[in-house]
Amino acid sequence: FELNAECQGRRGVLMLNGVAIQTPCLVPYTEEGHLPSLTPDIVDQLKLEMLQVSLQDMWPNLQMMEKYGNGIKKLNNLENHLYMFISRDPLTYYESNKNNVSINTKGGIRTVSSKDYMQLARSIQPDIITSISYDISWVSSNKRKRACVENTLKWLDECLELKQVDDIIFGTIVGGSGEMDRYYSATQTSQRNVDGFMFGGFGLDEEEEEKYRIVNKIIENIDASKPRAITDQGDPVCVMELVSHGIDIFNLTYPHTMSCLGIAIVFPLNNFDTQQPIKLDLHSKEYQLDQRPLVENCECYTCKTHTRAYIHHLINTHEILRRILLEM
Amino acid sequence: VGSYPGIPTISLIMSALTFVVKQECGTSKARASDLTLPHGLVPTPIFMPVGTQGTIKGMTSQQIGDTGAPIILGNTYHLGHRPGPDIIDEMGGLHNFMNWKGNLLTDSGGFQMVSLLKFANITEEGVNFTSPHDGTSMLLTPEMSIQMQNKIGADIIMALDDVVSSTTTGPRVEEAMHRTLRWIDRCIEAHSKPDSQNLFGIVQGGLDPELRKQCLKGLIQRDLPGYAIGGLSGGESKNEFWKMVSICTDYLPKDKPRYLMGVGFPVDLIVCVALGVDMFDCVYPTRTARFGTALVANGQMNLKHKKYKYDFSPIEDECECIVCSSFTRAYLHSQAKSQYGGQLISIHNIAYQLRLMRTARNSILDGKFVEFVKEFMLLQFPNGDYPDWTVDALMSVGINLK
Repeated sequence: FELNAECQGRRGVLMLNGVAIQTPCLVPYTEEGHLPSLTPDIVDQLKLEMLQVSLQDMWPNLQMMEKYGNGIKKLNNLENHLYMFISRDPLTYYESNKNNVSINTKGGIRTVSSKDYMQLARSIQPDIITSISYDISWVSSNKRKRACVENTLKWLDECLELKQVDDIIFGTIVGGSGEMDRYYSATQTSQRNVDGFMFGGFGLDEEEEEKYRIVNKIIENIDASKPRAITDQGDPVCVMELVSHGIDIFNLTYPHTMSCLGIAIVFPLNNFDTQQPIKLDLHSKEYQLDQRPLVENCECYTCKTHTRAYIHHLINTHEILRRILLEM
Repeated sequence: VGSYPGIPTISLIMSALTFVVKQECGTSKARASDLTLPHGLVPTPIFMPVGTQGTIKGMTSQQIGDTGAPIILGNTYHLGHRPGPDIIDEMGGLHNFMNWKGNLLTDSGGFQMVSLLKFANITEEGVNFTSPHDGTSMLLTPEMSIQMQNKIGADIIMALDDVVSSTTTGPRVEEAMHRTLRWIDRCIEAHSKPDSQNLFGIVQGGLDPELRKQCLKGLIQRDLPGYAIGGLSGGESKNEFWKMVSICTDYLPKDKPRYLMGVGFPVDLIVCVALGVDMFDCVYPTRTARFGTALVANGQMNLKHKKYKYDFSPIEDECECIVCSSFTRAYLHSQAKSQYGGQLISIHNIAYQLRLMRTARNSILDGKFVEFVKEFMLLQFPNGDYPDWTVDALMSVGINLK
């Protein structure tokens, strides 16, 4: 990981398995490792760099993945992409008890040990493995925060023990809103031989102010030369703030959630001013005859091919294509 | 008008297509032809995927184009409600609205009105629907249907016909047949774009050969650019189905395209090609895909079945679609119950139907159609347990399966 600019926020180049990507970078939400509604021919047009794949989605597929043997990239026909394996599904929440990670899979509730987790990671063959953890709410009791921190560190050590030579492991830093807990988690994790850090437990119930305060607390206490990832919803303003605080890798659900809601993200990437809309609700009849693309000069297939009126029609008629076009 | 293969005819009324029969099967009634429409060449026999509401479910216009489909359908009934003909007109027609550069065919809206609406009442004026909830009336006349289709702008438009279910018997069937002929004249009168949109008439007459012949005679006199065979693919027995198709293809002019509406399953397609049909449409491939079923050479593959859980081969080795070149049955099994799985299998199923028709066409061009039919039927029924209707239908055109 090489940093090539740092002011408020930092810019860098992350080298993974022979591939170089620029940071800050977006890691969009996936379902079982593929983008929702988007087939590989479409994803290839998007020029994404890294995708996430979650424990919860992949756990029921462990046997199949092991028999298949070719990993998540070939499985999804997305071989030109890097993958980051995370232990948390950002769109659902299932409460673990304090000493075990519990997940809610399509086959039922399962408990996953660090050993299980690494076994699944082996079959997925991701580029980055984040150490296993569970999320807690920011208002959890001190006992719960402490248990989460201690267990996460224990599991990090177990993951590192099972690490093979080429594995890239990010340590997950937890602790809810507790400054001491986060301090402890950060300093301890930083002492281990990790390749980067996953800021865990964000995008839940935190207050805005405490989000940035805790991010700062963590950053103060970790090795600055290593990349930092965060799982967040990804409201654009919030993302900008997090960039300025020094986060490098963003697992975001925002684009997906917005397309599920029938909302197009339209804020201009240059010359942004708060008078212009960030989003368009394409349910609105005001778009019935609107022949413009979602965003002028946007290079994506949706904007080069279709009008707001057509997407409005697809939303009105609940057609599958609406999900494809908006997700893009 | 003559019917020599290779020579286009001159129509008495304006038509916006040319139809050239390139080759006839020497034995059956099958033929391979080139149908040229305003948005490009359609080699027949052809399968037309259905994009009911201005989209083929789960596929982008680019993906449809990539499968090679030269023509797709839109439904006037659905599009007439949402977004409505005036919006489509302002958007420059359906081609522009959905950004589809190939050909489009729209049906009249009549079938949906009759089949989807329990309270439809058909009068001489048109199809009348009275809502039982609030008493409001909706009327679809031949003029209104053609006007809507003119606004939608499809390359082929369908006349409003008086459709009766194929299980209906009695005087209603005859009444519908005569009315269809009166309505075709109203459709021709109302059609404002004959230079860019081809109006096809639809042969009705239920399961009565004499009524069918009368209807055929009347429609042929109108010298339309093309003809559809309607009122089948309903609840009738397959035995009656094929006989009506065959009567129609016996009488319909050879030098014009023949479209069998709402058909269908692969076996139906091949038998009806043998009977002389050129064009087909059906929602079956995409609908069955969304239930996890893939179409393959020997029938259907239910990918939800657990036997595919660790099957790492593609759906079909010989298929060149993006799904077969990139994904395994095991993967599709894991996705079969999701929307994503439905999308992927839809792409394959459309590609399959198009490839099936292309193979049939090539076999006609190569003079090997009869062998092709026999091979195909044996793949579908490896024990030789062909359904009786297929044996009879193919025998009637000189193809002996046994």
